[in-house]
Amino acid sequence: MEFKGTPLKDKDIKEKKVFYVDWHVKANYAWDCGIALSYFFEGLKNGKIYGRSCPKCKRITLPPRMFCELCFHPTDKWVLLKDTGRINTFSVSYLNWDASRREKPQVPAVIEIDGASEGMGILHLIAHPEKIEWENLDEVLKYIKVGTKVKAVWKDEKEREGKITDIKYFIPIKEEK
Amino acid sequence: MIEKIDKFDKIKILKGEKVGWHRYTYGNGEEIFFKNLIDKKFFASKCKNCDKLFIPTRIYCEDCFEEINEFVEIKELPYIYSYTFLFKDLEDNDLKEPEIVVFLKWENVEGGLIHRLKETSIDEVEIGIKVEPVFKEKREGNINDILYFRIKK
Amino acid sequence: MQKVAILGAGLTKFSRRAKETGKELAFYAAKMALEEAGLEIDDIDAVVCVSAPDAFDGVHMKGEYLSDGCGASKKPFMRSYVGGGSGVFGIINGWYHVASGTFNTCLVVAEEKMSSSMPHPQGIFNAIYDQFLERPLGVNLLWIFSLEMQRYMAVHKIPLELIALVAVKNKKNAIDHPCAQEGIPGNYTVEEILNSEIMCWPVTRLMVSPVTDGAAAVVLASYDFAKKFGKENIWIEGVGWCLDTSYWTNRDLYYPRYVEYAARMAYEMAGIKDPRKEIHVVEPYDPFAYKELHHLEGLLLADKGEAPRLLEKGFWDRDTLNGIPSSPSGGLLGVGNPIAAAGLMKVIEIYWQLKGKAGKRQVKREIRRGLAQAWGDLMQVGTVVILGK
Repeated sequence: MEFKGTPLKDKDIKEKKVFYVDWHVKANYAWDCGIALSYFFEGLKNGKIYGRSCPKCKRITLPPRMFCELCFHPTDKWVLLKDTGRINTFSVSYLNWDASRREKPQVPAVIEIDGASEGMGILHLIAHPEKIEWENLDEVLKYIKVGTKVKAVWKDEKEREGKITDIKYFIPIKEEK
Repeated sequence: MIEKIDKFDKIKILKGEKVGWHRYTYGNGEEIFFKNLIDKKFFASKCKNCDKLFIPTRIYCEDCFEEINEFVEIKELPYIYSYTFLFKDLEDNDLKEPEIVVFLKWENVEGGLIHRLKETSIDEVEIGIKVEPVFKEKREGNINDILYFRIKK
Repeated sequence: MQKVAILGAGLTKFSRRAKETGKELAFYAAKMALEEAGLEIDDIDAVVCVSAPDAFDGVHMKGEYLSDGCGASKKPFMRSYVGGGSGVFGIINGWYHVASGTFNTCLVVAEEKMSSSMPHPQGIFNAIYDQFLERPLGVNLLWIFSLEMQRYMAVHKIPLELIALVAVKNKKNAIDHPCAQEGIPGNYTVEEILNSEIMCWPVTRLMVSPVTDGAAAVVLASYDFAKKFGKENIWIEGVGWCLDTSYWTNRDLYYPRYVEYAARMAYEMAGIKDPRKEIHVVEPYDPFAYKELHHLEGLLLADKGEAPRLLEKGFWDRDTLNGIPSSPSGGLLGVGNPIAAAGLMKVIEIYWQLKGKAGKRQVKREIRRGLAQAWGDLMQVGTVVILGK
């Protein structure tokens, strides 16, 4: 069997052995947040996390949504949740959005928020409880694991904009026995 | 129970942008067309099965689905197959002078090129008339190596 | 529903950046498939094209753009897309075309040209995340995989070394694949895999499949059409597909239930009651090392949490006699990952294995039925196809 294809090396492009054309485009978007997230973001501006309950399956959903996608039924009530939670899973990232390397790692995590149904998580970042920035992987693993309790750290009230970043990050906290 | 929406000032909009750009290799087919533009020549592919000629060059005939490896120079000038006039730019501002965009074809060749027509006034533009290319001084193997086309006098 | 056979398959070389345009890659793969099937383009009644986000190739309406390279000019044409699941989804879509009796033959082509996106395709992937709740955090594609891998390991207490073994196995298997991307296959040790650059712990560089350009194609035909050929045909015995909710942070990522639902649908169609006895070779989707194990459990070929322990015992090795060889091709980790074409490459591997044409990659045990599975989107879709002699 003969397989076709011409793999190129970086220098084929650099030395212009192969012809190419570049295209830069700027595309700007203005997304309507929708009913549910608009209310949710207003809540964040006021330092509160809201979920929404489904009258059929009784789930308290987070992120809140106007219809429960499992029952396919409209949700009906806003529920004020706590700003603490538990780490469902986490990672220690040495990459930026464009695949360039970071010197100090970032810790994204899925956090199950207290007050919402079990397993209702949101994506956010975990910071070092005192220094904020993590030094390296080993330091992260000393403080957190799956199941660690965490608490949100909010921006100052006047700096909040009604965005997910109104919560700066979550930090690990000691459990009360 | 569907919530009634009456507080429109509370509905939010989030702004964002798409980042990143693209680098396209011409591929085995079109590279031949663009390389020859550097020498101010127009090349077409010839399918050995059905004898059809294609501009720009490509390495397969889409009708016969056979590989093409014959490329011939087209020496004749193209003619205007269709045209349009532009009065505004992409940001909706008025242009000082209308621009002419043409779709050019070559006799007995499938396909063609879109380009701009200059040194021409609107009333001179007519379907069927022949045009000639005006090339850049320094050419790189790009569609803009042709600055524009103009009517052959 | 009519029975559907595979008459021919085609594959291009996989590379980090191919000189060919997407159309040309699609043409090479499609032509090769037609040649193996002994058919001309006029014998093809319909064409299905699968390709992942338009944003990778940087071309709008990618299906239409690729259509002439897929031989679809002036033919009924459909493009479908479920992210990485597309490769197998293409077979399912093509299967429908023929099984419904609407067409006698269908050409399925999968293509991906990720190298066009700059500075790196990962940037394009970020649009998969929610624009309100996730992108403002500065997300990277790898986060979602490392989060899933961490959960899988934590719930079942799986040591990293066992996950790394998948990369060792697949990169070794791929040494024998003629299309494998340069620099990807190799004889690695577990230590080398674990000590490679940390991308997004616990994911290291050698546990991730590369960015790839490539294309694959398959010719499908109805029972009556295939009979004319008289050769031993390979049949599609079952298909299954399932999509889970896009609220991925609300799902427990340790188990891909959508893969299980898709697998059950395929097993029922194929009349399979005991998959562990009736599936003899498997190609689960492996964009990351842990994903192969994750999917093998979702396919019900191993109990939850057991796939890594079986890996240690050699159960999934290519030359096993009592186990089920898994990713004999070398998978995405070994051959390359041109999103949509990768899934179809796996289907083609099962096809070549069943025909005895896999060369040095041919598995040792006797096989009569194989399964290929692909996954995609936001940890969402499972697509499964079962082939048999």
